[in-house]
Amino acid sequence: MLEALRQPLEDGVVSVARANGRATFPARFQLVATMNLCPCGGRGDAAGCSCSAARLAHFREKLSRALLDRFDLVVAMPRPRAVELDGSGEETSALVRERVQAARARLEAKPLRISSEARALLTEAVEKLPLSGRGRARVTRVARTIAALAGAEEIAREHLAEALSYRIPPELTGT
Amino acid sequence: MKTDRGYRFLTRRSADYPELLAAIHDPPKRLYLRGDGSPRLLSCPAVTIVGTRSCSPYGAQVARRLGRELAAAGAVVVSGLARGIDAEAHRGALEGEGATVAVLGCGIDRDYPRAHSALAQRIAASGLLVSEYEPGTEPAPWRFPARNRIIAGLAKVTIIVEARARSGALITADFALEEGREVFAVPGEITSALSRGTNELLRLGAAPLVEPEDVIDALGLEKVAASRGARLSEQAGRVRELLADRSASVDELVERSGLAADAVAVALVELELAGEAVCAEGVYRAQGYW
Repeated sequence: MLEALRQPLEDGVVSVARANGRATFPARFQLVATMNLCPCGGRGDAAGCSCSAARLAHFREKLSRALLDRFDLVVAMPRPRAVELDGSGEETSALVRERVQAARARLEAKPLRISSEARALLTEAVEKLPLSGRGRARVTRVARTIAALAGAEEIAREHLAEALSYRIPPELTGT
Repeated sequence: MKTDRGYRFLTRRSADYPELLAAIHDPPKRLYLRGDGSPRLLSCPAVTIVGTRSCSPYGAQVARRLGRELAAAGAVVVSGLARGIDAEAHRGALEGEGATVAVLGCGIDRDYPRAHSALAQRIAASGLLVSEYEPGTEPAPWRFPARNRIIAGLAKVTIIVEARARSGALITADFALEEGREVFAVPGEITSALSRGTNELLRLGAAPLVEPEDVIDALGLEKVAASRGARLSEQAGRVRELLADRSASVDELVERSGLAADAVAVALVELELAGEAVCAEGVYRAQGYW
């Protein structure tokens, strides 16, 4: 099931082939997914996790690298503390929507260039971190979005660094 | 010597049969070898790094760094290709551009666990995979304790990074102690089940491993000049100070540093690239101070 998402994620269409014909349906969507760190859900908690190494590995191997490679943003969510659960949202959705629309308009008006500092950081990251070719392209794309949201003139070092922090963590790919 | 199917092996009479291994109570009659590393690797100063398969991020970090620094200092890193601590030690050694040897409990042509076949290939490119079992032998649980005597037997020093109360790594430690080899245990939290075995070893008199230098001295190797001290930005320095106190998530660091979220992200990437911090499961840990 999960692997079947790969084609629509890439192409924005679903092709169904049957004996008497073939149909293509539009499938442009946003994929948001969550997972626990381990099958019992205790990993990362004070109480601890009781999963065996083989069970944990099996759980993580269910997500192929090819599928993981198609997620633009990965965010680790350690257990929230009480104070965070109490907190109310700082921004309304309407406000966020305005910011997103402004960023989109900016990107449509003119493509943002990558600064030389950001490019140097990207090169260093590719050398030192496990980052695939697809990963490199994705980081650049995410950095461009971050820069546009910030209303910047170009992709600066800090935009690229923030984009790098959303990359796929090594514990999911087993490197 | 070679088998009919072209696998290299050493016998007790081979000049390259490692002396330390020959000295144990029941040395293997044959040692099958796979990989581009020289059989002489088995006679170089070696350190065994083993531990639990279901390790914590702390254990993974320590095993990786030990593998890297000890390999960089010229030690051959010996382990068992298992998940968890073993794999991290091998990976660290490869990062340190040193040699690493994986001792298998099955034939050298069987990558076990299968998820580690890519790692086995990387090890074989510069190091060795060794086994006392004929090529083709399938993995079986009862072979692993016997395999552990070779893991301990190849090295002058054995380090246990994390081990539960009845972990297989403790069997390796027992073999090492019986043969009069030096055993180090990495101290862990007394409240963690993953440290029960290692802390028990410490209580019994194993040497606590506090920094890689402890082992480098025991092996009689020279410490490589640290490449640390890369100049960090002020913000990265501040975040590093916070991480040195205790590991933390990005959100906690934002709260504790008083810096903006994007500034913390920049600082963390800078620290990761400088080798001053590592991240696992959403929690960042300082690397420079350990």
